[in-house]
Amino acid sequence: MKTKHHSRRRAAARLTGASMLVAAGIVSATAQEGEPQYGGQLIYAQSGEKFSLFPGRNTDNGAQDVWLNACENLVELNEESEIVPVLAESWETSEDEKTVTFKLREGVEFHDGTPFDAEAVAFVFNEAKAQDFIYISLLEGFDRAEAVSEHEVAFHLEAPFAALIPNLAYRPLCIFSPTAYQELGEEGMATQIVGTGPFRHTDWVKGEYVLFERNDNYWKEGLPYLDSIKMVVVPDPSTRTAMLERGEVDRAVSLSDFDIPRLELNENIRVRTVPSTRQFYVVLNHMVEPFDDVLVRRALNHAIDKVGMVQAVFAGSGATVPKAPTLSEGVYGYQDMRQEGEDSIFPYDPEMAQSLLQEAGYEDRDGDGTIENADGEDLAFTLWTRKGSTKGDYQVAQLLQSFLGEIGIPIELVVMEAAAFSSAVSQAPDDAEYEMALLSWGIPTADPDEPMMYFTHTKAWKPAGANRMFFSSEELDRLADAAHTETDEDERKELTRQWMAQLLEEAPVIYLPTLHLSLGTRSYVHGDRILAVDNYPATEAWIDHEEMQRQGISR
Amino acid sequence: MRKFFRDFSRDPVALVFGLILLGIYIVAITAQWIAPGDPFETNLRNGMQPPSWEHWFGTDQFGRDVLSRVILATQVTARLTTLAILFAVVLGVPIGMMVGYHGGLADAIVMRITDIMLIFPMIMLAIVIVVIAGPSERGVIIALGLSQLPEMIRISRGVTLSLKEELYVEAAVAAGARWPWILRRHVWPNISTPIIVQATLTLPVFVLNASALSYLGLGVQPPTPEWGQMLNEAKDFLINAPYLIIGPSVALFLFVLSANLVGDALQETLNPRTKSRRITRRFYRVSRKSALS
Repeated sequence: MKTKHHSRRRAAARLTGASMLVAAGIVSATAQEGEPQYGGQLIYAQSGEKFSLFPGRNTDNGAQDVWLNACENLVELNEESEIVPVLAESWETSEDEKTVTFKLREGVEFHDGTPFDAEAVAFVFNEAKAQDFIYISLLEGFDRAEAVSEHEVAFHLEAPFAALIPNLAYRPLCIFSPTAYQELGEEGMATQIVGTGPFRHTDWVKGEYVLFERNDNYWKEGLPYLDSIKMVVVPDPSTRTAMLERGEVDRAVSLSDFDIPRLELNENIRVRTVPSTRQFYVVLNHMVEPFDDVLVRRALNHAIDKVGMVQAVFAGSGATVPKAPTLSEGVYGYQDMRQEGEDSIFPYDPEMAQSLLQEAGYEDRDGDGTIENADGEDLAFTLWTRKGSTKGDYQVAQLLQSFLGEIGIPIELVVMEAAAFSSAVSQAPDDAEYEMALLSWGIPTADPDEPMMYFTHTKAWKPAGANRMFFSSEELDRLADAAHTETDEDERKELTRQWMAQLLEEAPVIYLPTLHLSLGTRSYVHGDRILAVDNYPATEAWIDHEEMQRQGISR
Repeated sequence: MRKFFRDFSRDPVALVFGLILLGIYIVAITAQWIAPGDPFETNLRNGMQPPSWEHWFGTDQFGRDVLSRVILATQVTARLTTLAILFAVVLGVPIGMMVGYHGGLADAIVMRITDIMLIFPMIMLAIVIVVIAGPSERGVIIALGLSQLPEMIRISRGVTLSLKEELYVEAAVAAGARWPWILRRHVWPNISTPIIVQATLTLPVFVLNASALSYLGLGVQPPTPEWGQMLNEAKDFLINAPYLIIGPSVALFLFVLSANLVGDALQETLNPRTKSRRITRRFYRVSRKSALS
């Protein structure tokens, strides 16, 4: 595993040709029994509503799972976290490493008939830079894209940067139709996604479902097998499980860990669980006192029993304790950052939490069990959360309330509907109204560059990136910038380690357990995939119609 | 008063459920002292234990004692339904008496507003109000109170309207009595009985609706336990830990059933057989119908 990582890493870093990587792609999809059958509709239960379908303005994970059907990237990350070419066939880096030229796939068309060519790719990336798309900090160092010939596009860089290729695999950087974009504008694209993918987006009923129909002109010969995919929004996990058991849906994500042992006994259902890079965390709004104080932030981290949380919320098996800040196993450069004898980073220690708070000037002055500041005002916060959007979110929020309550910080829970929540935590500092918010963070590129540039970097303050804490640390920015342009592998790993160590010092957020992902499908669904980045492509999925009938499901 | 108790105790069903209801209120008032454990204390490594001597109703996902939570939830429910009823009475009765007595434009406006409010199902109205007021105990009290307000206004207005025509009221007016005095001296004593009956009949509806709101996540917020909210949590474990659902459902069932039966019995008992109280009789029927709707 290690060496595999290494080889893809080197390839990606030096931006050499992709031919050696082609072999690594699309392998997993063929590992299915039986001859694929055409036709049928796959009904897929998702957990939450998306507030926008426009990739340039939304990095919400559930949305990625929606648009991966219709919109494709130049390259993609497969199950083994390897880079696989998609719309780009190969790429070459110039001598000075400042120009990367992509050879594009020929004969590809967008769903609206626009030809997919170098002009289109150049337009998307130049527009992203001009309009400050949400992911632009991932392309730090990118100057402009230029169509060299009809099927060759050159990326001009201000400085070489190692993470360009893995970052291009990040779903929001998918290539949408420039024609559709110019016609509809960002507003129009928020409800419609037009790309080159295997399915055309045909319908979206807010809060209910998204419908995709087969793209008959798809460039991969013979694909897709399904006629359509209907993604229904079912926020409640036990309802999703019940629908799957009854055969109302063919596929459901984010199953409750307590239901999994039962589902595994059901021979008509196949359950898959994989470790993910998705880590829960609590955003602390650093614009709000006292979250600008590092002592307070560390105290809050020590107040949470992560081990108990894994036990009670995730049945001990649906998540692991955080062993490093932000990065999880499977991400390049990840290391176990726990000190010897610790069961998680920031091990549970309420007394230490209280003494840290005391050091910061907060303690229970009047003996009422609540911690006050020097002026005698109570330390009390509201915590925003969703319910059922990511498995266990509401339960985690309740435990946070309980743990912080125990050290004397009363927490008021505010439960928000998923779309409203997403948009409320995507505001610029002046408009951000949250004090604390429970979110989770996955690393879709399996590369530390994304969290470094996009999560904790000062340049990534919302609405530009995902720095919702409005956190700023010179040292972390310096390490991130250095790693971003570093092309030596060992050096980059070392910078990543230092970055994590610095996070443990500064504790910008409250670190919580890392999830295992689960996907339940009816056994007649074949060829669908589960990716560690919390995406569930069904491009190569097909339905065994006989088996479906045998199970008594007719739609 | 003695006659009331005699009538009431003649009905064995009412007596039994009256005692149960009384028991529920005693539990509610003494919750802090009789709860066997701390309803908030989590024990994450001891979650979802089946019922035992130590935990009669088992422990929930976070290892909290379900019995203690049910007991505290009794207090929460009793408190917020009582406050909601008071809210409706304190706001509704004076308005009803005033518009009933004075009539005119104010009367027309108030009655049209109550008509509009009555169009909506009570729970829907409550949901809208909670969304505006914010999901909290206070929100539930306001929502339930306001949803019952039109009923209270109509009853008190109706009684006032009929009493206005009574000879002794006209005599009082002729004698130069001012309207506040008349309302207090002659109207209020006649209104109190139908209001008490209405309030009792509203109680089970309020209990159910408060639970429904909490079940939907719009009511009492964690960590404060509430039956509806506990049921919502328990439903996720219906197959793995079915015992979690027993405590809150039994409590909810008993409270609603006994409050309903006691309300019925009260209505029967207070039903006036004497001619002088005939005026109010009509309103029992009205109120009964609305409480069931």
